[in-house]
Amino acid sequence: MKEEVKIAIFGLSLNVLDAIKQKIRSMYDDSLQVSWANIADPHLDILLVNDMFFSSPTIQNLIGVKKVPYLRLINKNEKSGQIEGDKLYLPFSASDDIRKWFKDRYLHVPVSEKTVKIVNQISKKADLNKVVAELSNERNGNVQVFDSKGNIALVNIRTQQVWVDALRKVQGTDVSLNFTYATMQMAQSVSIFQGVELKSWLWNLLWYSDDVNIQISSSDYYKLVDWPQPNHQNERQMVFKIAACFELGASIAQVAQKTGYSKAQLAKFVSIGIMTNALKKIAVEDAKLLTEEKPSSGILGGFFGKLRKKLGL
Amino acid sequence: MISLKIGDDVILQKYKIVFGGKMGAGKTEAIKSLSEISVLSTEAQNTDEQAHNKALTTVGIDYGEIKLDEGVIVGLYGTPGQNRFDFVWSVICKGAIGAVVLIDHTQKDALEDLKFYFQSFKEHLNNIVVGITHIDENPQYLLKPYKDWMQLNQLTMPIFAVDARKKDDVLVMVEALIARAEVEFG
Repeated sequence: MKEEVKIAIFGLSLNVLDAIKQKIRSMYDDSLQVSWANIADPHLDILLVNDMFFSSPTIQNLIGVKKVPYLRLINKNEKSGQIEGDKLYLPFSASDDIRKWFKDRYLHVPVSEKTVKIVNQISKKADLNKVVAELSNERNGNVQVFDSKGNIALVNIRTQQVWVDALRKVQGTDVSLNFTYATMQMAQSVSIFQGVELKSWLWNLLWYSDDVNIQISSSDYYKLVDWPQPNHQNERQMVFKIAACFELGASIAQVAQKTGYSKAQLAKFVSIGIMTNALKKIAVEDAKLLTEEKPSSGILGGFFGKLRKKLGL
Repeated sequence: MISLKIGDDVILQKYKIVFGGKMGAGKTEAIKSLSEISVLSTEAQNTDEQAHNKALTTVGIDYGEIKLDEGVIVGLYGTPGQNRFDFVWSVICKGAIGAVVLIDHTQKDALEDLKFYFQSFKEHLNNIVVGITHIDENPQYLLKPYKDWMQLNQLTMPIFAVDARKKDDVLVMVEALIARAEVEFG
């Protein structure tokens, strides 16, 4: 069986793409199989990216977090065929330098220290908040969401629908969460099926993740604008009670007093709410949650307790 | 005066959950999934000629029950969906824990239905939860148009995509109602 090198090329027109593929294939001998992969592939050996898309969170994640060796493709006739650091100028012919670069990457020869340093500096800019924000940006249209464990889902941001990858077994994600633009073919393949709701899906994805932590103050006031729907029944009571409190407008401290849930649990709820635009910051005078117990609360509390027990909630 | 009876038994309970929505939206299925008795169809009789049109005297209502300790019953009421029957709503909604509004996603005027039911129930109670049903039969979109309308009107009630035949989906809506009531009255 032939050995394999997996290469993804991102952001080029089909004509240029085909020409580059032919040239790259010719640089490896027949004992090696060149496989063209999507950038969502978790086992990429090489990434070639149109320089216009280099700073996108998706690409930055691949080269910064996942350390995929890469070249930025730049159209510049006067430098045509040269490799300078992480840049390859188009159009190119298979020169010795270029051959060496591709063979070194396959042999896992480390990229020069200078290049690694540049990548590390850039990768710090990509973070979970920005990726989640992009998943609310309708201009992104259809996107494929993935992380270091593989594909997660196909998302139509305009219609707020999500088609979750049936093979995905992991509930949460981590800082490697990212996305790439989906092809028309991918989008059409799911269009006859109903998806799940984007905000609710995103909320659950983050709720079952450990890396969600943004700076919030327990004395700030927040208002719920979109109710979450937890995937698991055993968390609904807590999530819905917290949601009902924030729906009226409240601080974390007030909701902690009202519900008895920990500030850590509430901070997570608020963090995810802010990230997914399900919660917004408000002025103190707009907060309407009453934390004092009403005279009737004991009787009604008993009634609701019995009703919950009866319904298994 | 309006009476709710099955035979000689009055079925206007102290504790109530109301299910509203057009025919086929899933009211009966939702009540069936919760009720401990067979869901009954009864009639509300309007005998108050001053307040309501004389010609419109009876309305069909679905009725189910959840039985708690010490004889406490939570009545489950499925209300009819036409304007002309709205005299029933004021009676059923009085003192209710809340209302579940079910909207059939396949209807061309589904968003108009949501507006109508929301406005109608809002006159009688604050605690409203919305369930969008039959979602698989119209995959072109999901909750976005409903949520856009809510956002435009600064409404924050819970809205879920549900299958009214599935008990857990119905429980999601009921649990949201309970959580809101607990915070409001607790």
